This record gives sequence, structure tokens and C-alpha cells, in this order.
Amino acid sequence: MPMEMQPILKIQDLRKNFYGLRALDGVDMELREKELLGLMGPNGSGKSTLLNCMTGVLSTTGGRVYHRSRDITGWKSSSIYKLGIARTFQLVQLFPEMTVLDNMVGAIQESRGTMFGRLFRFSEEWEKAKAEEILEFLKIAHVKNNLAKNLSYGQQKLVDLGMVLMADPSVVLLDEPLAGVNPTLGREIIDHILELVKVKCCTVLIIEHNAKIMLDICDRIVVLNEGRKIAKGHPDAVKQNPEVLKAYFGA
Amino acid sequence: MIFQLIIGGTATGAIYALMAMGFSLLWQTSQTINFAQGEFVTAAAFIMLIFYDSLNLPYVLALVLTIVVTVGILGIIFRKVVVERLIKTGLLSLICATIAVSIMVRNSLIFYTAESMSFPSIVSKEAIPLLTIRLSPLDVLNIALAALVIVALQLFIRKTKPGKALQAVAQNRDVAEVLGIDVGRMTTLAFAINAVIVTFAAILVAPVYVAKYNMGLALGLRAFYAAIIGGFNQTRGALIGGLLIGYIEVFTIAYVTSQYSEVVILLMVIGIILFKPEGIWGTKEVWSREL
Amino acid sequence: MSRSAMFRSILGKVLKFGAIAAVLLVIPRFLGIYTIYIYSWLLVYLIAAYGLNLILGYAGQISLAQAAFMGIGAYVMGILVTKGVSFWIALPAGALLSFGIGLILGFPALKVKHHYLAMVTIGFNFIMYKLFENQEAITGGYYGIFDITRPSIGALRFESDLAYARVIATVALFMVIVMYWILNTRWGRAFKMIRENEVRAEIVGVDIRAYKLIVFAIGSAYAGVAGGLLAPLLGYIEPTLFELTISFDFLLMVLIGGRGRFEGPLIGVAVVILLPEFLRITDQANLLIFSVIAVVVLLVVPEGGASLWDWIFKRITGKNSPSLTK
Repeated sequence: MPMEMQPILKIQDLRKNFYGLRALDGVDMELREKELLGLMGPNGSGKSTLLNCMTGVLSTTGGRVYHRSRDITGWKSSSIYKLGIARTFQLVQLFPEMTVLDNMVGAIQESRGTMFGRLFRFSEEWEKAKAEEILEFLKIAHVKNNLAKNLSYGQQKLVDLGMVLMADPSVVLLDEPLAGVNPTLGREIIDHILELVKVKCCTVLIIEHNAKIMLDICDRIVVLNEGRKIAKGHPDAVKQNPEVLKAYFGA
Repeated sequence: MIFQLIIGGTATGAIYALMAMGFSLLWQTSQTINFAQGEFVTAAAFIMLIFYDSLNLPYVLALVLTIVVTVGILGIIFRKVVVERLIKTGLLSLICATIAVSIMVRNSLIFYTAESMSFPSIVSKEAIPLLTIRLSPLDVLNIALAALVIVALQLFIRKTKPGKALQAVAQNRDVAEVLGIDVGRMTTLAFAINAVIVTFAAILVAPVYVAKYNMGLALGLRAFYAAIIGGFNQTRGALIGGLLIGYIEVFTIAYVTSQYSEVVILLMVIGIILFKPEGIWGTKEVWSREL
Repeated sequence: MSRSAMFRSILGKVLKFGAIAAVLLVIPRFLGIYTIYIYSWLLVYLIAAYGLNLILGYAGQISLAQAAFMGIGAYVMGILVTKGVSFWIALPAGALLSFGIGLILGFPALKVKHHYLAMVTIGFNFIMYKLFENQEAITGGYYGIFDITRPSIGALRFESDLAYARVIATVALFMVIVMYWILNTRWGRAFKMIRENEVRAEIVGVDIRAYKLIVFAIGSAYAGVAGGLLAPLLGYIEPTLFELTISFDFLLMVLIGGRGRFEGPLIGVAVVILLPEFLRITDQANLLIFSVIAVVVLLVVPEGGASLWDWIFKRITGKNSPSLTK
């Protein structure tokens, strides 16, 4: 396989049970470098669960997760973060009583240096500069000193995205980045995502419900239903897959 | 002698079990940790005293009125004013608030009287020699009455419609809501039931320990220990936990010094917390890390 | 920030704290015997309250064992000083021991949360109390330790109430400055992240375990220092000074002042120590008032981080108070 096609993340036979409910029932998936992968499926199909298992937020009941052929199954989320794998959340997860700048700097302050060293610093100039740069990029630099809880929902989503970018991740996992967002802002976010992949050469996985957009922008699509993968491949192929149609429309 | 201790332990344990069960009910239905449970019992005892002593009402009428008042204040008002508001912002605030409420109640009862009030008892406190043992009628009454309340509670929960709805809410709030159950009303019901439970606990415990404004602290802690040891996400656990604490207390006082009975219980509690936090009979809580 | 700006900012802080120091050291001169005593109590309790504020307000952990740690610091001071060891060694020794034990107590804090943690700390407080009471050989048992002398440096003796009050004030100021410093480093930000959103904090790489342990250790060490200062203040110590209800008192102080606020302990301690002096009512009535205030504060601003005063300020002026947007 050519270099760009090597999987950067590989999920093998992943299972997750919640007291007998099979949220994930043996999922195999690959995330290839520099691709924009769309993860779709009806509600409850296990998309967020998959993401949570991949990033160490949930423990797995079976199967393996590999990062560049290293087994990271069961790793703590902080360790996975340090590998350069960052994620956002469906329900925006910020630090509400801290300022936006603090949120941003906080997102990477633990990635460098020692515990003891952190006792002697509050922030380096470069961190603040980088945060401000990213906020500019996302066009929300003007709220940098507001408390996170005082931002509008759309602004919070952007800050969430910004926090992810602070770490210069190689893999970005976005959980419904467009949920609850108005179309204009949504287009902006998509532009940022596309820029991430094309310009900054990140690998991005998006979970989204908006099929039209997904089919439009993604390089590849994976569809889940009831904890199992039912389709994968190029958007055009997936679009016509009868199983996928059945899952979504029950025809 | 052993038999006596068992009776005594059961009687004491029954009271703790009642309090622990109320405690467990509140936790299961609305994720409330009521640090003020002990003070609720004290408050109920004092209210009873007001009706019975100061107003000289007949015992049963006083009891009924007390129940009405406790359900109103400790049940409904407590829920609406304190719990409902704080539950959204997290358990920490709620716990701090109930601790503060417990301090509040503890120190307000002093205005009625600072003295230990002798509490009316339905039966004589004198021990009756029966065969080779001395049986205290009060102990027997405690056990009988507590058993009655517990059975009534179980019947209510299992056989009546609101009871079953309550059970549903306790097991899974979200599903219950989907099934059309008014979770808010059920929660209020839970608080009301707790108020009734603490009232009964009050009339059982007060005659033995006398009613004093600061009796709530020790009682509340014991009930708490019972709930933790037994497991308070299962009513059964609270019940057994309460009895267990009762036995430990009675037996350590008899065979070891009373100084260390508390320490023994505490060590057990800490041990359970560290090694089996859900309690001996409880089930594992899903401390949801889902977002 | 440019170098001169940084220099100016540091200079500003030095001047600010210098002014506070001067005020603290001068005030006792003008106080009567009894008032100096209250003043000293206030500062001692302030230190312990800052410790609890760190644990509860910044890292969101419940500790109902502050009184026990005060006891540890106090008994270390009492035992060592009555055996001839210098105050200046006994104080850090007590702090260190409290730090160590606090670290150990931190481990259960990692495993359990909230009410379970509250129980563990209550249990710890109770066990320490029983130890203080029963280990006669070491702690003097029920009667405690007497004749705890006040410190001296060489020929300079801080025997008088006035002199010792100044010693307390100096140590208190030092502890507060240290707290201010800690909270303004990355550690402080990490504490806040843990408090605000523990899951997200872990995901961005915060070592939750390590920080929680540290917080417990530091917060408890503060109580230990307070205890060490208390012993010579009273001249004697006995177990009831460190029982469970005192831990509840500290909780009330932190709640009243607004948990997670830097000025919180100041407000809380002032209310709890000074109000009784003005109201002259029974202990229970005082506690009643404090608990009511605490409940009101919690209901009005349940998230903490703000206090009743900010809320009142906002109602009156319609704007957020300046310290809130920091």
C-alpha cells in the first residue's frame, strides 16, 4: 500500500457492551492518513460509542484499537491525546468558568514539561500567541477574554474546535461538529475542516447526520447500524448501498 | 445474654435500617445525598413533642399531625427549595447544602429547648423477665413497628400504581420518563415517603435515647454508614446494612469498650468504600463518563 | 509582555503585599487584649480555611478533615515545644507531617467521590480525634498538653500577645502569598480544569490523580500550619479543639465566602469569627445564622466561584463585579 494509504488508526473487531446491550458488535474500520472520513449511521448505531472507545473515554469489551500499528486499546484518554489524537464532543465540553484564552492554553499546558516545572509558570508567550492565532483563524478572537459559559452555542463549538487545534494533532475526531449550528456557521466550520485536511494535512474523522454534506466533502464513508458496520467506501458507492438505504429509511 | 443482645441489636438496627432505607430511596429516585437525614429524625421528634407535650394532643393525633408537618417541610419544601435547584449544578453543591441544612436544623431546635426532653413511649421501658432473659417491651415494639413500616413500604412499592412508578424511576429515570411517568411527582413522592419514614424512626428512637437537639448527628452518621456498608442503591442493602450496624454497635459495646464501637464501624465503612464502594449488597453504579 | 511591563507588574504586587503586611503588623498595636486574641484566632483559622478552599473550591473535593489536620499540626507543636524543640522547627515539622498524611488521605480521594469521600474524611477526623483522646502517653489524652511556650529568635522573645500576634500575621500573610502564587501558575489552571470539567481535563492530558493528591496534601498542610500556630496562641491544646464539628465550621466558612474564590476564605472567616463578637448570642444561634447564610449562598450561586456579594453587587449595579471576570 502506498504511504498515504497506510491506516493511521485501525479498529479491529471492536465490541462494547452496556449491561447486555451490544452498542458495538465487532466493528472493523480503518482511518487512513490525510483522509476525511465520514462516520454515519442512524441514531443509536454506535458512532459516538466508537469514538469514545477509540479515545479512552470508555473501556472496550473486546477488540483492538491500533495507532500506526501500536496497540492503544484501553489507554487512558490523556495518553491518547499525547499521541496527537484529539477530539471534540457532541455536547460542547469546555471549562465554563474559565476564559476562552485559558481554555485554549489549558488544552495544551499539560503536554509539555514536568509537573514540577508547571509550578513556576503560568503561560508562555508562544502559547497565548498560538491561541490568539487560532482564534483569529476561527474568527472569534474578540471573545478571547470572555468566560466560556457566556459564549453563544456556536462560539462555544468553535472554541471546542480551537482547543483541538492547539495541540497540532495529527488525527482529529469530530463528534457532530454541525449539531445545533446555523447553516452559515456550519459552512464556516466545514471550510475550516477542509482546510485542516488539505492544508494542514491532518487526518479527520467526522460524525455527522447531514448526509448531503457528508457525501459531498468526505473522501470515504463508513456506515454503522446497530453497532455493526454495514457499508464503507466512496460516497457515491455508499449512497446507493441498499443496506444503507434500509437502515436510514427502513425500505 | 446473647439473645438479649440480638434483640437489642435488631431493635437498634431496625431504626438505622429505616433511616438508611429512606436515604436509599432519595438516592435512587433523585440522586440526592441527604446529609441531614439524622437531623430530620430529630426535627420529627421535636415536632412530635410540640404536638404531644405542649399542645397536649392525644398520641395518635399528634403522630398524624407530625407526619403531615414533616411531609410538608422535610418532604416537599426541602425538595422544592433546596434539592431541585441544586441537583442541576452537581452533587457537590447538593451535599454541601444538605450539610449546611443539617447544621441549621441542629442549631435551630435549641430554641425550643436545650435540654434532653423525655419522649413519650407507648409501652413501658422496664424490662420484663421472660424465661431466662430480660426482654424490653420497647425493643420488641421497635422491632415490630419497624418491621410493619418496612413491610408497608415494600407493599406500597410493589403493589400500588404509584409505588411501581416510583420503582421505575428509581431504576432508570430516563426510561421511566419515556414511559410517561411524571418523574417530578414521583420524586416528590419519594421525599414525602422519606419524611414519613423519619417520623417513624423518630418515635422509635427518641424514647430510648431521649430527644435532644444534637442527637441527629450521631444518628445520621450511623444511617449513612448503614447505607454505605449495605449498599444504598438497593433498598435491601440499606435494610441489611442498618441491621448489621445495629448488631455491631450492640455487640462491641457489650464485649469491647463503647469507645471503640464507632471506630470498628468506621473502619468497616472505610474498608467498604475503598474496596467495594457499592456496598455489600449494592450494585455497581455507572459513574457515567459518557458526555 | 515586555520586560518593563513585567517588572512593573511584579513591583505592583510586591507593593500591594507590602502594604498589607504593614497594616497587619500595625493593627494589633491598637487592639485591646481580648481583641488581639480574636485577631490571632481569625488569622489562624484563615490559614486553614485557605487550605480547605483549595481542596473544595478549586479542585472540587470534599474534605471534612481539616480539623484533624489542624490537630496534627497542633499536637506536633505541643509535643515538640514542651520537649524543648524550637517553634521554628516544630511549625514546618507539623506542616510536613500534615502534608504527608494529607497525601495518604488523597489516595481514597482518587478512588471515590463526593459523599463517599466526605465519609472517608469524616471517618479520618473521627479516628484522629479518638487517637488524640486516647493516646495518653503521647498526646496527654483527654486533658491535652499544657505550657506550650511561644517562640523566640535568639534573645528576641515573642512572648506577649502583641508580639505573637505579629508572628501569626507574618506566617498567615506568607501562606496566603504562597497560595496566590500556586493558583497563578499552571497548577492553578489545572486545578480549575479539573473542577470545571474533569473528563475534558483528562482528555487534554491533565494528570488528574497527581493533581488531586497534591491538592489534598497542600490543603491539609495549610491546616497543619494553622494548628501549629494555634498551640502557642492558646498555650494549651486538647482534643475537643479538633473534633468533627470544627471541620464543619471550616466548610461553612468556605461556603459563605464563596468556594473557589480567592477572597472567599477571608470573607467566610471574618463572618464566622467576627459576627459572634458583634451579635453576642449563643453558639448555636451563631451556627444557625452561618448555616442559613451558607445555604442561601449555595442556592443563589450554586456553581461556587462567586459569592453572595457578587450577586448582590450585580443586582444593585446590573454589572458583573470586577473580580468575577478574571
